[in-house]
Amino acid sequence: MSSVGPTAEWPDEARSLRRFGMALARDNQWAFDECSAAALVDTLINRTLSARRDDAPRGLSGRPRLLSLFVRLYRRHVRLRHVQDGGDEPGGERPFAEPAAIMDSAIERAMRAMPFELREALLLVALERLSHVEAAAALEISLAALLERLERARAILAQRPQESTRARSRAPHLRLLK
Amino acid sequence: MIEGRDSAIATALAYVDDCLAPSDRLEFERKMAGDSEIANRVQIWLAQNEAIRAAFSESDPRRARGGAGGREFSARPDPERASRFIEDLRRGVRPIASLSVGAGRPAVATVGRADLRATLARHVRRAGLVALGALLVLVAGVGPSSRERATHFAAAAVAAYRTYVSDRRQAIELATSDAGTLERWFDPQFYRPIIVPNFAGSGFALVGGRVVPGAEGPAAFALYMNAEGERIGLMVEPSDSPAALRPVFESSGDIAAVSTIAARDPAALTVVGKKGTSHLAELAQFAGASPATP
Repeated sequence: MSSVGPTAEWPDEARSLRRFGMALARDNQWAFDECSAAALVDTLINRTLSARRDDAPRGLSGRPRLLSLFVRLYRRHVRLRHVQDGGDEPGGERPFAEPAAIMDSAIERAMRAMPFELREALLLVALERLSHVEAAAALEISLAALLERLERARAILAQRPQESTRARSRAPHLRLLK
Repeated sequence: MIEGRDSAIATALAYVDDCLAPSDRLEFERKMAGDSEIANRVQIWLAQNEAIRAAFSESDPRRARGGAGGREFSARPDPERASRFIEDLRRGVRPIASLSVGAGRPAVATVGRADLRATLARHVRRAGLVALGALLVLVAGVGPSSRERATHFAAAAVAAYRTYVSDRRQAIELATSDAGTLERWFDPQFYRPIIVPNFAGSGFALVGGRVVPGAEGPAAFALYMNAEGERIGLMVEPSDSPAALRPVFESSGDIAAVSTIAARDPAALTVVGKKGTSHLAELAQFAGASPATP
């Protein structure tokens, strides 16, 4: 990756977008490992920062506007990948089958398995601390739709560790033999 | 809009995500003290926020190592750190023994009154410390002055006017000439009262309003028009800034704005319009002194 370009020109914005991008793009469907997710995120950050003067989703400004642009580009990427791969429904959930996920925390695994329209809503609010109004504008959805997504995402997140626990309890384990 | 939704859930989400005004937070905390189910749910959601921030925060130096290139972005996250909150909850270290929160699925665990009192007391202590810190910062003059912040509000209003009012098709989301209707439309979106003043005495009639990005967060934007077709906007952005000594004037291109801060709410009030529009400063001061619509 070259040291010049939008990310070098706007390092603070790039850092903020990278945090959000890595949390959003690292999933169980399109970016299984950290390296491929980082490559995708850096590409999208460059395109976001390049488009910052051209595109204006719903008149947002500052950081919410950049995050909204990033979400748009990520959605476009997912749609393209879906068409190219002819794979599963975008945002569809897959089980925790990837070896790389073994070392990850429960919260990370739960977030990655979540449909991305729920993940993006929760990350904008919980990680990026956007207000509900800003997040709804960034995602180009109504406030009611955002609240509904947040509630569903939080419900999934709350259930996930229990399912993991149940799965572990069903797994074969070693027994002490006399 | 949140019509048709369970307002308690919407308020709880707003509380967890810090979208409530301080007075509304206190009121919600009082309600929560008598409702163990909602208190349980809020505790879980707060723990989720902490866990997400711990898991994905770039403040973790191992995550930030990749720099702009990103190719070196191979450090593993700390699994224990991120899952500590969830593990604690499951073991009952925190006053919640279950994570069974979902649509139509009631929480199994209840929070003891003593635990809840202790939690609330902790929140109050934290709030007190934050307030003390903010006061010290203000006294020391470290933060931006009220004039600087008023300038930011004015600049945001100029941007909103240029973006929305210049485009006549999308200038407003709700068309109404009734200030009360617009205030009721704004209220659930800001979780605090928004006052839409009457500028009829200056010849400007209310046309409608919309939500726009402000200097520090979302802002309410009311649009007015006079008989000559001149259009002015009033942007109201909830803010905890101290009142400015006098209105701040800001202009960019052919658009000018006058911003002041109403001490009563408090909120930043900015009247914005084309350069040459008369009485912008007077209207801003009038807006700052306007009482709530009965």
